Amino acid sequence: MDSMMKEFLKKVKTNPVVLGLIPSKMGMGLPTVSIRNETVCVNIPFFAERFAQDDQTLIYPFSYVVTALWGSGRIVGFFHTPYSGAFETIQVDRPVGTFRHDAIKHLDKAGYTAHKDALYAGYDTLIRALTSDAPYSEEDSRAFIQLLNLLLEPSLKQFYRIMDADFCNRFFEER
Amino acid sequence: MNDNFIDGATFGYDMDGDGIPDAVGYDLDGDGIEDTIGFDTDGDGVVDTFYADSNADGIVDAVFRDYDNDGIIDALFIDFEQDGVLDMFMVDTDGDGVFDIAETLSDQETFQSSLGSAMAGEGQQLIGENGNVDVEVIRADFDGDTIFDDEIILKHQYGSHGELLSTNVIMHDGETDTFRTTEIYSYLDKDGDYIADEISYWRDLDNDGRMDYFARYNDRMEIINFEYLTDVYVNETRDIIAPTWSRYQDESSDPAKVVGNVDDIDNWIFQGNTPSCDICTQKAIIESLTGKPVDVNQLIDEAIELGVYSPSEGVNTLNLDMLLKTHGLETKMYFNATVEDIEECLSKGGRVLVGIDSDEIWYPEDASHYVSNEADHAVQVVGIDYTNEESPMVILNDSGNPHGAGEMIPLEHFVGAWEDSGFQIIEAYA
Repeated sequence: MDSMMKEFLKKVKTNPVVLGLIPSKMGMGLPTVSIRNETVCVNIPFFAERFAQDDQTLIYPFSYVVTALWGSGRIVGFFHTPYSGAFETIQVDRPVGTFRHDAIKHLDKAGYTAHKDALYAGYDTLIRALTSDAPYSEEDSRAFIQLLNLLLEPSLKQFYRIMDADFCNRFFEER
Repeated sequence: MNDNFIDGATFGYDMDGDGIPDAVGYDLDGDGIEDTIGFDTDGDGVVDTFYADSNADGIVDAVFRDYDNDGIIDALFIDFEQDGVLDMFMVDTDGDGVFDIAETLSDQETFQSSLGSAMAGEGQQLIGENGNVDVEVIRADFDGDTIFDDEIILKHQYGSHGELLSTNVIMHDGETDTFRTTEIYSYLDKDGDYIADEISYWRDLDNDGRMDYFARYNDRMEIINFEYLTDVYVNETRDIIAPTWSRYQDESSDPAKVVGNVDDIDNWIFQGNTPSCDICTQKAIIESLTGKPVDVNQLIDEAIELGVYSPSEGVNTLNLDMLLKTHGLETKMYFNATVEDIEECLSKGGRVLVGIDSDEIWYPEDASHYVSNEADHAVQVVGIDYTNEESPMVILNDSGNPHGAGEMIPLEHFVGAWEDSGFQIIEAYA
């Protein structure tokens, strides 16, 4: 059974707002979780990925950011980065890196998927702690940080910091 | 070292922003200033054409061509007078790196009545009644047998105000006395200043008389988009990433057990390294249902005009049928469709476009190369082959796979890839 976060992201990806405004070829990045108006919100970046002739996958800066209410998946925030505040000066049509980065280059597709599923399970634990009285131990936090920082493409971290500085300050290893 | 071997690249330019250098700057005289820029004009990853500013006055006055990508310049064209017209060309006939033929192009000759009669001349510029250079003829011996067997003919066309509209590069094979257009440049003046704002470029890469490669450039010669029009590079691009699915073959299938329209396989085109799967797939469906050919770049222009397509991002998911509609087709788009829905549409003579996760189609589970995406790709479901009832196969036209014409995917595998789009389907009818 898929994790709650994985199911939630599927729900967001098929939300009519997302389908209508975000090009189908945009890749969905890892989400960040924040509390707004005492409600758990999930912030999801979308960015272009394109194949290069030498079988490299180029990754680009975030083009779109969507904020959805946890649970219902209702979209409460949307912006196209070239026309939005701190992102405005970033050239979204210039690649910033290649997928996969060195730390996970050794993973084949199945291995990568397994790590990502484990990370989604970590999101679930975090969400449960935020939405109920479920415990969130140091071990939970350490495991989540380790997996998140392993899988996040380093070249995208700068954009995550613009998107959700609080989450990054809490869970990113480099400050 | 060979006299005309260029090495010592100093700078790479990524003009289309895809992270791959497609132009390289050189400092040939070692003064620290770039004086030559090399371009990869056919997108094969090898720089083949060089523009040089030999006297550092900021004006290009020589063009080098490496026709066979061996790193040795085969031909050099020089514009001594810096008037934009070639005055001399030099050719390395035997590939030893030394220019052994040099021809001066005569100036201001009167335009002959026909292209055929112009063939008698050696290295001519033929001036039309309006004073423009209508035809340039350059004689060459590219096979090194010391006989001028080929002529390169640059045939220019002008508008009513003398503005250049197009240039056809025509090869004349002296042995067979045949003419073959190898390159076409078309210049588009968008703002009426008689200066080209956009250049469309076609090239026949394998000399079979068909244009294999197309690119559009802006006025700074930056690529706007390009595509391969044929599969000439099928074996040289992205071979590694796409698993070798079998392709639909009549002889191994029972036509009575195939649902769909396998003739549509002929409409497949390769999208190259562009986010245009949705455009390419709609093109194939439009042609199939209307019986009329449509140009993929025309469709791209239409989609941009409609506000539903960005060359760098592609098409929004809910607008995947927009071009089908504007070309007069009836469409029905919905989610949570089933395989039975696909079959019903195909049985009624409709065509089917679906959204899928390309990752699941292109990379097996143990693949070392893959992407992290979810549903990100549009394909045409051409049919479903039930010849082997225990293992039915879905027949796709997949523009993202260089081997994607009539690609056969096990039904179960296809459903897994399709699920990631929320089982999105677009049914199209004439």
